[in-house]
Amino acid sequence: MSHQTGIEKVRVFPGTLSLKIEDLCRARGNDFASVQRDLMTDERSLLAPWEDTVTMAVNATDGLLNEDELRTVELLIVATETAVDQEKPISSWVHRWLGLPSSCRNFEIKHACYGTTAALRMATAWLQGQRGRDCRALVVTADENLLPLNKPWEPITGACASAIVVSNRPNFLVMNEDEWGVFASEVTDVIRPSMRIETGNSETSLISYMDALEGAYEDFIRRVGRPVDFGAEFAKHIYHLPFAGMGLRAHCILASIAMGLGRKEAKEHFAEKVAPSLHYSRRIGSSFGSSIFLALFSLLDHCNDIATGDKLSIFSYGSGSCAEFYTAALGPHAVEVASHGRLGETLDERHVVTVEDYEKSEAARNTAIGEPKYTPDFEAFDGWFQKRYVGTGAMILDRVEDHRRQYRRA
Amino acid sequence: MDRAEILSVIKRNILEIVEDIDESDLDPQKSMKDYGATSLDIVEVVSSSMRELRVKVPRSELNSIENIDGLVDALHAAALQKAL
Repeated sequence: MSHQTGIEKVRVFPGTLSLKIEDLCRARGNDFASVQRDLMTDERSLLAPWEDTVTMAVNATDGLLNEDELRTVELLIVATETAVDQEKPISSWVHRWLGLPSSCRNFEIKHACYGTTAALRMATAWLQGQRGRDCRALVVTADENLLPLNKPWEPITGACASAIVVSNRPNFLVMNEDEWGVFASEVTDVIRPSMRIETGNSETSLISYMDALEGAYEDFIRRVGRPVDFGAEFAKHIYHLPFAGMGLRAHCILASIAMGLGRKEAKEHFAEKVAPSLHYSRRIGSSFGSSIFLALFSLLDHCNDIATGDKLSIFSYGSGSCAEFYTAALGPHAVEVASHGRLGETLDERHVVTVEDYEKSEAARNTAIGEPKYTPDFEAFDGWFQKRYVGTGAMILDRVEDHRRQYRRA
Repeated sequence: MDRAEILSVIKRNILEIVEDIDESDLDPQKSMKDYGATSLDIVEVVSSSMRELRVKVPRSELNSIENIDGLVDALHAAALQKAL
């Protein structure tokens, strides 16, 4: 007996601080107009000194499930490329701070930005093996860039977390389990050879992304074994967005492969089928495995021409590399789930930081990685901790002592 | 597939993707960056040209290409390799 599986709810947590890319471009002597036109970035999210990927993961998930629903979570997977420890997984902290049952299996996985899709695939496959039992899987993804100061990719850096509830009630997104294609190919495009260093080659990564898009789509066509009317079958197209501008480049390539469109026609098709999914990516910057969910929220919050059951194509890419092209349908409460997430409002509520404060904070964060002792600067950013955190119950990193991370509720 | 055919495909893609270039201005000895192409433009030109010509150049080799002629050479070599 088969059961419909998919995503019941999603919450995106973009941090509480932001940096204007225009300010950054001015400080670096870069042309903001060309950054805006090509990369399509306006702002980036930034982590406060008392936040890390553990607190982001917990803060993304807090309140998403009620007490009864939390008791049904039997699988928790955290996907990240920004682990805080090489042995202890972030999932252990998430498990504890959410109060998940001791019988809930949990672990952390990695495959750059593709890790979240891999976790989602594992969760849906696991759920299908439960033969309709009333249980849930929770996939959480949390990441941030490592010290990007003065790097060529600095204008497209960011921080973000998402919590994704997978169940037999796919209110948000119904996964089409038999419609997917994968492309895997070893490449050194973006790497983190230590917990403090992020490096690579942007052009290699972009070419890899394009190769993977073409390869995954070819595999998808081969597997579905039927003609696919790319223009008519999909209401919208969702792409992994290392930066919003990638959506245009990716769609021009795919529209050429799948529909034979020239660039002018492909750009028109992009404006209708992809552009509405880019709004939040423009305001967060790199969101890693969260980017697909940001794109979905952006679509749901900004489009009037979509409805329950509409079929979407989704492309996920992770450096290294592995990619997947798959299809899904909007669930019956997709618009409400996105609206409940208040992502637009949350982005507006972030504290805008100066370039000087951003540089100081990122440098201090990087220096603290791996150090046995660390106390976050709770006075940073004009008393933002007092204003935004105290009394909210948000999870924060209180200190690191003898390498042990101490968290608490604010 | 000869070099002239490959150059013609690359030129067509440059003119379509990079804004404000006149075909008569295109000198294969120059880099696409000389014509104001961004990294994203170059990646799209390379990707589209490879697909149209049905050849693949290893990503590591693409990083060392310095001008349009270099891209023609790389694609030509890949086409010859494929024909073997």
